[in-house]
Formats: sequence, structure tokens, C-alpha cells
Amino acid sequence: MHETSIALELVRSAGEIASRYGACRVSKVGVRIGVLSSVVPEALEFAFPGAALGTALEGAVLQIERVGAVACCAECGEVEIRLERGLRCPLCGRPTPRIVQGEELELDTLELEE
Amino acid sequence: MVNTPRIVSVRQGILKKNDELAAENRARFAAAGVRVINLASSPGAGKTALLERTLRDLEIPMAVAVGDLATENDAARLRSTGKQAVQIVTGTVCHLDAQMVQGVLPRFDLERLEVLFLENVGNLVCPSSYDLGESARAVLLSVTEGEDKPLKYPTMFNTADLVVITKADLAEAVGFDRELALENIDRARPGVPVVELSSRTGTGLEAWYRFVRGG
Repeated sequence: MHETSIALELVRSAGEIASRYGACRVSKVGVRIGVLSSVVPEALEFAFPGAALGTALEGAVLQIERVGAVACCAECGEVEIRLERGLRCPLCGRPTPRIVQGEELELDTLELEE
Repeated sequence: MVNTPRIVSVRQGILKKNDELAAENRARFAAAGVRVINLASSPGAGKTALLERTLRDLEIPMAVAVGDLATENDAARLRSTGKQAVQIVTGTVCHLDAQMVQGVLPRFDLERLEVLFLENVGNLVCPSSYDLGESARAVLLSVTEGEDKPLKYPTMFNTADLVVITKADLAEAVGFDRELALENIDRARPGVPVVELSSRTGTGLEAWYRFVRGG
């Protein structure tokens, strides 16, 4: 449960970027969370409003885009993987060590107000 | 006048600052020529026991920075080996981050060390998100924990450079299914090397020591 740490860091870095743009308030924050990032979107949603109190992000809407896990199979190409089966191609069962999507923990967009 | 909100595209890692500090740590470790090993596991998997044994057995300059939510108990245990151990008390924070590590680095003579261990907070979830600047990450799994841990905590295991199965001396007593555990480790991190050992009896330590030395 490190979503509070993640929320505080999100608020800190978003605030920094907002002030670089000369904005006083951030009304919306868009983030991308991969299923392999070990961050639970619901827990982040819960932690965010408190982390934003007293900052330029207070009251901002947190918009979370969940990103599925995709790995590269030598035989089948890019395949969506199911976490409970590990890094195995769902089509042919081969190991798929290379993850191409799903580890995202990204600050994507900010909606700024002057 | 109503201000129209502006949308700006940022596209940066939420933990960008941690990653930058980790890169600073990594550069410092490289300059000092010290190998840094980040040890992660659930609480009670035997991180401290393995380090106690390692600090006693290996005759190379080593030290430990150990993270816990509270108490200096682990550092005291590790100091009883005669080697330097610095406790990082994280308070309510469930992982080490690059800044906490950077904060204790002045207490070590890095140039004189060959290996620095970063014993993470016992937790199989949160530490996986935080790069500390380590050279390698070892994830421990004890035979008493259940063979499906690697599938339950995929993000911890799929960032491991080595998986260590600990408490091997208890395997039979607890009915540990070794084949299943190895299969699940390989599913979580295809191809990752695995060392099976017992810190108590000393079985399997040679392979662990080769990894510690970077061989």
C-alpha cells in the first residue's frame, strides 16, 4: 500500500509543472497505471484528495487510464497476458520475458487554470 | 472573463524524481566501485538471517543499510557480526526509496567497500516500484510461504535479478513443492536464476556468495 506515497509524489510533480506553466490551479490530472505497476487505481483514487489538500491540485479530478499487460512472444508477436498465469503466451504457452506494456506509472496530462 | 483551461501533455513517470535520485546513487556506487544489492521479500522470509550469515562468512569489505518501519533491531543483529549496519527507520512508509538511501550514504566509506546490501522493508508489493540505484535486486522466497507467491506478487518477482529460496532445511517438514515453486518463479520472470539455500545449515550458500561477489 504505497499509493499514498505515489499520490504525494504525483501532487508534488504536477504542482511543479503547473507553476512552470504559470498556472495557479490544476483542475484535472490524467494518469496511466499499468496492471504490472503494483499500484491499485482504487487506492490511488482514495489517497489523492488528501494528498492534494492545500496545494494547486486541491479539488482536482483524477482521471485514471488503466493499461493492460502486453508482452512479446517469439512466435505469436505481441499478446495480452493474464497476470495469474505469469509471463506466458496465452496462445502457445511460450515464456514471454519482454513486457511491452503494463508497467506504466505515468503522469499523462494536466488541465491547468490561470 | 472566464479562463479556458489549458490541457498540457506531460507523459512522465510519476516516480521521475526517485528515478533521478536512483541514477545519482548508481553513479556514486559505480565511481566508488561498490556492488550494491537490494534485498526484498515478505516479512520473515529470512533477509536478515541470510545477511548475518553472509557478513560472518565472506571475508570482503561489506556493509548494510536496513529499512524497517520501526526499531533498530535488525541493524543491531547485523552489527553483532562486526560489520557496519545502518538502520533506516521509515516510519509509516512501506518501502525504501532512493532518497532514503541517499540520506545514509555519507555514513559509509563507499570507496573501501566491495559490497553494500540494501535490506528493503519486508513487503512484496511496494519496494518493486522504487529503484534505489542498486546493481542487482535479489528477491527472497522462503519454503514456508507457499509456492504461488511469485504469481501473487508478479511485479516484485519480475524485477528480480536473482530469486533466493530460503529455509531449504524446512522444505520437507512443510511439504514444500519445489518443482511447482520453480515453475511459478519462471512464469513470473522467465529465465531468472534461482538459488536454494539455508542460512542455518549453510546448504547452497556458495551459489549465493558467487552472486554477492558479482560472479
